Amino acid sequence: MSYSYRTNASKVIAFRELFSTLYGLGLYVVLTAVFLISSYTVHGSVFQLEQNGLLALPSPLTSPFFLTVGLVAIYLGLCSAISISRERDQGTLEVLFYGPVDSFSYILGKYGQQMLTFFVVLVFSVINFWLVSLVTNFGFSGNFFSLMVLSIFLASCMVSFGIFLSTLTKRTNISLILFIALMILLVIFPFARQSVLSIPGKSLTTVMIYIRIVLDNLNILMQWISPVAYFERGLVAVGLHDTVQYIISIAASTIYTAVILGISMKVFENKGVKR
Amino acid sequence: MIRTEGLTKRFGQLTAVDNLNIHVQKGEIYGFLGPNGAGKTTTAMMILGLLKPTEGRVKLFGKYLEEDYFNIKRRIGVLSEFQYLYDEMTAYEYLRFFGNLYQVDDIDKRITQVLGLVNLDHRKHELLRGYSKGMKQKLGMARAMLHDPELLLLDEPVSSLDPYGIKEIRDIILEENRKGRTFLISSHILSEIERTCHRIGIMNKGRLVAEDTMADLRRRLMDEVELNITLEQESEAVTKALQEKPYVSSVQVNGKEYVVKTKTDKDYRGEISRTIAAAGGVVVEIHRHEMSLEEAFVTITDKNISLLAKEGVA
Repeated sequence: MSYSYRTNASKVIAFRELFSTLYGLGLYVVLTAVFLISSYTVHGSVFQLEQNGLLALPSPLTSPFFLTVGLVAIYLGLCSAISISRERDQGTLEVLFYGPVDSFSYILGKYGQQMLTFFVVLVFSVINFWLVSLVTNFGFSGNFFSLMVLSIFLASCMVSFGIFLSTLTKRTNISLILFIALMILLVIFPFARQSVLSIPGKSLTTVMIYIRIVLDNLNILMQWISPVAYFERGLVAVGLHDTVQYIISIAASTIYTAVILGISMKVFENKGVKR
Repeated sequence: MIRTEGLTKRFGQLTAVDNLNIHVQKGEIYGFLGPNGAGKTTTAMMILGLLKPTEGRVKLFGKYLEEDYFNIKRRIGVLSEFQYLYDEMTAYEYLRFFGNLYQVDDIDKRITQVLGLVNLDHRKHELLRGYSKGMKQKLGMARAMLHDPELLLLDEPVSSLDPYGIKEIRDIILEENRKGRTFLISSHILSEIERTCHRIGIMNKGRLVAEDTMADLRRRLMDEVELNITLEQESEAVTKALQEKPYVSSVQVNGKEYVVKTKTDKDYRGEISRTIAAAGGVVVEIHRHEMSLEEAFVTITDKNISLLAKEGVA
């Protein structure tokens, strides 16, 4: 019985928020910006083709598509990161919990809403790239469809990670800062690690060796906690045409999502719904 | 309907609610009173399962909340003191969202009914960001009743309303109670509690310091009854006759106006009229002064604070 109530609560919450997003302007502004950026990279391929008469990439639509869904996934992660804290901040969260809503159905509703938004975006993206394909005469490769499926799991990891951050804080701006700071850290970290690794072994001081060890351990940790790491593994598998690794990366993303959402529910229960 | 069993909530060193045992019976309107910080909202939050008690438990409809969470929640309607709404929605969309959440049958018909009750049906397609505080309060009341709950928890239901709105909400409460709905009302507007509630619980410093009907509370708190008597004219003989009566504790005379204090064991108005007549006086009016809830509230909380101070709690 509680299963049907939970499902209903999740569904109602997800669709309310989905319609709120679709009727708002934010998503379309972001989509327009992302399509412009991806179009610019397609334009680069067209330009090269015109100039040199050859294509630098075997599948010129794959990278722009990857860029599109990657940026949208980050945007949805950001939206997820502020979704719960904003509702707590506004007091509407408390009102929801007067009724037949528990932490499970609420978190699932929030996750569902962001994923539904991603599917809408995916449809727009496919239409956009189909039109680009018609205009440029660039075709879709098999990789394109593998990436499309993989992008759903990237979005899933990003959204669950965002929801987790949102359960940690009670203020919208703190969630926002936390998400941006962590994303910057995730981007900077590989570069910092690479810079330290590129220093020749002979010239390393004791301190630098220690930093290298710390960075190596942090890197292992990052592979587990970063929502992007699972997608990267999938990307490598797509590049190598390794179906087994591709499926493993998808399964790992699913487990990551389930674990992060489970932790989010526990944190949310402990934090409570009061402002 | 609601039974709390030794409900206690501590925030660090502070005990917000201390061993609270209340029982709200089916079909009654129970008024929950207390000064700011008495623990009323904390209690309401624990009843709704939004705050975990440090000790004790709450039974709703004879069950603990965790035993049948969703079914219990569907039988309760809640109106909080502050209305937190989705400003980008219209009243109709807002109620439709909650109707879906509570799985209300024939939602449109029910929305029309509840908006009609709070007199907002003509504004149902306006965005909530344009609603006044009072309108938001009334919409909150409509939301609380939307799913036809058996029990309504109302926190300051008339605090933002004008006199007309207060009357509307009061009439709704009384009418819905006549239909069998149970109410737990927490309010600072004592006159409203006095007008609507069957029983009253008074909290102070986290403790329930009094719980009774208004009439019994008065009886318990009043040491003597005050009678305001107007005579045709002032009379020495009347004053002397009244003072001689064993049940009269004091007589104050201000021209034709007499203030006579009697014991509380029975109604002495008849005997006093006869005494005045026998002494040659003519009674124009006798008015028995009733202790208002406000006076009872102050008396109880003052007594309780003194008691707690003696115990070293306050």
